[in-house]
Amino acid sequence: MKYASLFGLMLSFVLLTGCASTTDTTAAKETPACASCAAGEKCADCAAEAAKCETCATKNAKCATCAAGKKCTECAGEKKEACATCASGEAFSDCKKKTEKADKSVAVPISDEPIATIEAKGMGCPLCASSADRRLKKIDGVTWTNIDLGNGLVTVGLDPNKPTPEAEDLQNAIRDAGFTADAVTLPTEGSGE
Amino acid sequence: MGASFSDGRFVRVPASAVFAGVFAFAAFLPPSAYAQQSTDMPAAVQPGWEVFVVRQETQYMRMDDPRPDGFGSIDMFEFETTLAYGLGRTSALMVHVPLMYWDLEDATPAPDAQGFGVDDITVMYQHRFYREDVGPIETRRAVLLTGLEVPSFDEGFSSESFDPLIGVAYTRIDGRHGLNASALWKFNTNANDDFEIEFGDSSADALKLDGSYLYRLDPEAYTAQTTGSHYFQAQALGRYETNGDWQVMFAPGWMYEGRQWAFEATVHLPVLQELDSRAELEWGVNLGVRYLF
Repeated sequence: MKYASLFGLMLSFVLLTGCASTTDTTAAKETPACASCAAGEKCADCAAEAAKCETCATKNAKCATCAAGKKCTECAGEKKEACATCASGEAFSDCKKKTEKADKSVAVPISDEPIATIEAKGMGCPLCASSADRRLKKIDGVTWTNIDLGNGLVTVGLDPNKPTPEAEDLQNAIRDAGFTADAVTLPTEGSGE
Repeated sequence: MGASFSDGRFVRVPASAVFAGVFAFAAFLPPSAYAQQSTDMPAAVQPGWEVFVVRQETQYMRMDDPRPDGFGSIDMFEFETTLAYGLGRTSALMVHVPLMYWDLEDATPAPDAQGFGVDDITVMYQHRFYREDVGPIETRRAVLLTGLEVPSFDEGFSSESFDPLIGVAYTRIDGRHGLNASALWKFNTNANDDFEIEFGDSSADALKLDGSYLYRLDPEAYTAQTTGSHYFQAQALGRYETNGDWQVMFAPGWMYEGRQWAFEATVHLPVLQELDSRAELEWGVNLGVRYLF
């Protein structure tokens, strides 16, 4: 059964190729339970942790999952993300920095960083988001992106030490990736900063 | 009449009806069913500008050739590497390089034989001429496919001819549903393939007419934290050659798509086949990995 052996070899190759080339993007969301958690309980379900996140989220005026102009304290997505990734007693901003470093595919905001948002259409898959991410990061001053496929909202972190990119540049990056770009909200346009 | 009918395993259905059915499945489903990219057929999706995607597929096919001068039982492996690059907002270039291995048993005239070589290389230029993005993930797209099969001149594998290709592909995505339809015609200018085993090996022109439906199993809804998706896919793959051979396969499968890579696996099952000039498919499987640079 030499062909069976060959097939097995190729299957192994394919699987190894996939595994070797993959960053485990879910790791940050599976952080073990914190000191306040009961045995087997995840931070996201931990009442003490949730209380802390309520506080640390308040410190940050705006996050990637907030709608334009909306405070983090009103944003359920941000609280959930913080609870799942912050260690016990850890400041939210520190935790976010670590998460960003560990998970390059899902960048998250660092406090006080200006952001812009772009409404996009036609991004139907995670790989599509990656294409848009690559184009946006070619723009001078863009430090990170966070793409909410379900709502078609692209959030872009901007370097405060560089000129804010033009709205058209951000739209063109989305269009270059093969998608439709609509309204852009720049930091000076009522981002809530 | 194809050799496949001699043992009564398949139901006799007019070829025109089968192809009409395949196309109807792909193109005329109700508006509630739409598309994602599937594994074994072209789609109207392509890398973004200056984005580079490498795809590696490993396909195994178990075939049988009962013709008096046929190749007996055939185990065929195809290791295909695809390099795709986004040339602009609406265009992309793709190069397919297939390595082949086949193992023949009870073949005529040599009872047992093996071969390993490079099949013809396909260069495709894809131009998107229609795009309508109607929601955050909802889109309808169509592309024109043009290409050329470039001979590898590997004896026993290459047709040793330059064969033009032209076709169209349509993709529609709406929510968790995806739909693809494609037609690709190959003008076979010559054929010097000593082993006419699989589709396209003969000197006849060849048509691929495919349709697929995909359903996103997980997540139910995308969020900003989504890093990957699982899909079920069901493909109907039609193959027709102007020498009269035709074949329809059902290819269900699964696909995982992350933000930088994708893994896909499908099984190929013959539904109907009437083949006089090449081997019949018993079953096949295709495993693939895509990586975005």
